[in-house]
Amino acid sequence: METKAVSHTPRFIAFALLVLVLLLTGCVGPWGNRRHHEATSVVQFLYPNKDLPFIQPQIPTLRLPLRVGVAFVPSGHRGGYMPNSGINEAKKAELMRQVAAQFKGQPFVQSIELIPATYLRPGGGFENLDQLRALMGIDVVALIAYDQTQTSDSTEASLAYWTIVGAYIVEGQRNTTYTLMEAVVYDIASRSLLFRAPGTSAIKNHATLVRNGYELDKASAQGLAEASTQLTTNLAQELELFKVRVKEEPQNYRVEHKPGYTGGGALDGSFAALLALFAAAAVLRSRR
Amino acid sequence: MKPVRPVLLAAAPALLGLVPAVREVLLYDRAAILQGEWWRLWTGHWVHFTAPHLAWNLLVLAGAGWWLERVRPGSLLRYLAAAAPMLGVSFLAGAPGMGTYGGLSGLATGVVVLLALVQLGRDRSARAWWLGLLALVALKLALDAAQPAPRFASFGALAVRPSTLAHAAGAAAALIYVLSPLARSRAALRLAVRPSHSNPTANLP
Repeated sequence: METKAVSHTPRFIAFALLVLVLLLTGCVGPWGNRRHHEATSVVQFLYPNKDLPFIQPQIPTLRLPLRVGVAFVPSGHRGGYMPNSGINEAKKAELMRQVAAQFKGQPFVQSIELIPATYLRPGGGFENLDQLRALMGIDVVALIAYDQTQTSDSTEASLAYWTIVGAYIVEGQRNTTYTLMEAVVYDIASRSLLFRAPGTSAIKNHATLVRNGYELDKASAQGLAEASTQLTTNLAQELELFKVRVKEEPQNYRVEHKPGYTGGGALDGSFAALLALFAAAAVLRSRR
Repeated sequence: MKPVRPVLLAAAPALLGLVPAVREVLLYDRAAILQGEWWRLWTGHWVHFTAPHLAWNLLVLAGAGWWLERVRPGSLLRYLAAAAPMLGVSFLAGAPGMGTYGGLSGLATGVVVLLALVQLGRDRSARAWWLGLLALVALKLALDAAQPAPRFASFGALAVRPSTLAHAAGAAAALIYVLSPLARSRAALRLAVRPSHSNPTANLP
């Protein structure tokens, strides 16, 4: 009897350890089924208090050249700070530089300020932006937000995990990573949205149970990179469309020039064409 | 002098104005002018910000200038030399907020107006045509002035604001030129050019 008891104990301990390891590898469920959501929200940042009436935007008055601020929307809610885990400060700084580069090429931009994370409060709203405007002298702010959801589900192949070796070699986890990144550009004084540019990414892959955490981290980073690349491309297009809108919709955008603006003496093609027609007609007439 | 030479002399410096390093030295810069860099009153007009900006201005200047040189040799360069600082001074007085300026359109508009005024005095049978041209220029000036917001055509950039004052000042400078002794002085005409293609006896009204 004693011999049997001694021989069963190590097996039981080994089995218990295996279950423990497998449970630890995944957040929920015995085979690492997990769902992870991480987001920062422009709406929560700008309109944190649902009790207050909605801030009615006014017609923006763009005083050119503009001073633009670029900032990452802080995560968390008013009164608390919740650091992000998926995107670190170095990645944020890189993305802010990419966004800033789109504005840098525009002659209507006088300067660009990359706003440090510590200057924005979670749920700070337009009051926080007003403070930045006074502090840094910016007219317009580009707020960058992101939303990433990762799910990891066990497939039928996860049955092989029971063999222990299967957890190492069988890709029984089906992972999906959806990332949405957005840059919204606000005129601070008028509280009005000038334009927005999104970037999205969807990544699906399979992983072994043991490497699942690593693969999810990799997919998270890849999703953010893909979304930010698309965001940068879309931002360039939206900037061009915005310039066209400013020209074509003077009722929606007032444009003023700060002292020291650059004037241009320009004749457009239509006027030149009219003159050419006039000249041609005059020449024809003189030859008759 | 053949008409093409003064036109080339008037237009060629504009190509230099496209070079960024040269542009910085030639651009109309209010602060620099007030500090003594007075040559910018002349040279600023030959600076352009984009190739299309240059192309349309040159097209009008070269076309109207060539015609003007055919009917009144020497007028183009004399008008440009006299009108350029007039426009610059009008910017200093009338557009204090404009820090910098570049573009030939003010002078080109002036050349068109000058051509019409010269032709009005020269060819009375075509008065209606030239009055029509003056009306066209006046209509453009009125439309520019009536714009509710600054336009940004031809630049591809928001920060460069087309100056309506430049066109009005160019037209006014043409009128002043026509009325001035400079345009009437045949001695000055002989010093400046040796006419070959036109009737130098034709006087302005």
